[in-house]
Amino acid sequence: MAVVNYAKKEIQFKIVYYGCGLCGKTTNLQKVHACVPAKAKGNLTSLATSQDRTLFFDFLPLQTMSIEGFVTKFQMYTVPGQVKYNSTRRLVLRNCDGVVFCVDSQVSKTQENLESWENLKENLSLQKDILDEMPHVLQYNKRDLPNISPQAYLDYVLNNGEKRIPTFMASAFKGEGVIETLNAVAKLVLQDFIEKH
Amino acid sequence: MGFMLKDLEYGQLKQDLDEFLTNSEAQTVLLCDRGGNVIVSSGEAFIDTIDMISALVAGAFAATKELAGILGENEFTAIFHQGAKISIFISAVGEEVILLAIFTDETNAGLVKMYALTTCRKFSNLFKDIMSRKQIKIDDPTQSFQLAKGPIFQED
Ligand SMILES: Nc1nc2c(ncn2[C@@H]2O[C@H](COP(=O)(O)OP(=O)(O)O)[C@@H](O)[C@H]2O)c(=O)[nH]1
Ligand SMILES: [Mg+2]
Repeated sequence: MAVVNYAKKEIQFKIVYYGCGLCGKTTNLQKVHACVPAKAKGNLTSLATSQDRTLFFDFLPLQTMSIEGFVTKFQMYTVPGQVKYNSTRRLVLRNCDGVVFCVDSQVSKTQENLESWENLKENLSLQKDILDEMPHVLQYNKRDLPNISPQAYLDYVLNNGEKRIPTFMASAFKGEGVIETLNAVAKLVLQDFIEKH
Repeated sequence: MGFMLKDLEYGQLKQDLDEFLTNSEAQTVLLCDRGGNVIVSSGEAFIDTIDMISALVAGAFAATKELAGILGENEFTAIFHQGAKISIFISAVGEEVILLAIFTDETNAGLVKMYALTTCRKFSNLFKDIMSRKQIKIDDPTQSFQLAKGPIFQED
């Protein structure tokens, strides 16, 4: 849910990295933080995971001039992937404007990816959003590892709707595909916003 | 959907928040949505980390909702966290917005709370208007949003 401030000439969006535990969401934000210019970023804050924490996520504020005449801010979040942290995921998804669904490409993770994908749709529907109407992209991550599913198989499992979801191959660990993914989701968010206003 | 703040509304909010700071002697006051997006803030203290504070305030607010549920309350609409030097008061402004006041031990917590609640009540109707509006007609018809050229993010 964008916040537009005409007086300050400022627009703010929220983008969420979603996906199962250990798929590489935090690594994505770390790489983004490492490679965008200093003037475009704030601090990356990661709330540490501990047993009894109900609340933790990563947060990185970014700033661009991508809408003419407006400072355009993107507040980047990751969700905790583990099944038990669903209330944190719901909180993080609240009022978001775009989603990166990060996939762990390893064959052994297929089921976890699918569960997280279904969980994303379910949590969105609880806040009366529909994934199809929310700007989103897929990132097939960990392409550098040996035992990974071919892209065609991941598409078959996750990207099988009428409209093809923009998909990016990545090795977040090596910094590959990270900025491409970010630019794609940011662009979709901006286009969606401009269309609606 | 979103918060589209017109010049006038922003001016009003800002003025009321400034007034709140003067009256309550709090250091900083923030309005954010329940997803953690900053809407308006006033005061210089902690301003560099206001984005993160906003994200966490939304989190703290949501986290106590579960506890409220167990006790048979829908939610706690006001939360007070006391520190040695710095304390905070968080309060709901209607269904979608949260007010956060940050103040020091030199301030009277009761005063902060009273003025905060008054301010929240005042804002709750204003935000109902803002939220129910899909689009705003800008006075200048030539103004519309345009995508700047070039990639949005570039590697350093
Ligand atoms: N080989 C490989 N490892 C990765 C990649 N991306 C992340 N990792 C590793 O996977 C583990 C979990 O990553 P993390 O970003 O913490 O996952 P999160 O739970 O989704 O936030 C870490 O040890 C990362 O270094 C990748 O593209 N390739
Ligand atoms: Mg993580």
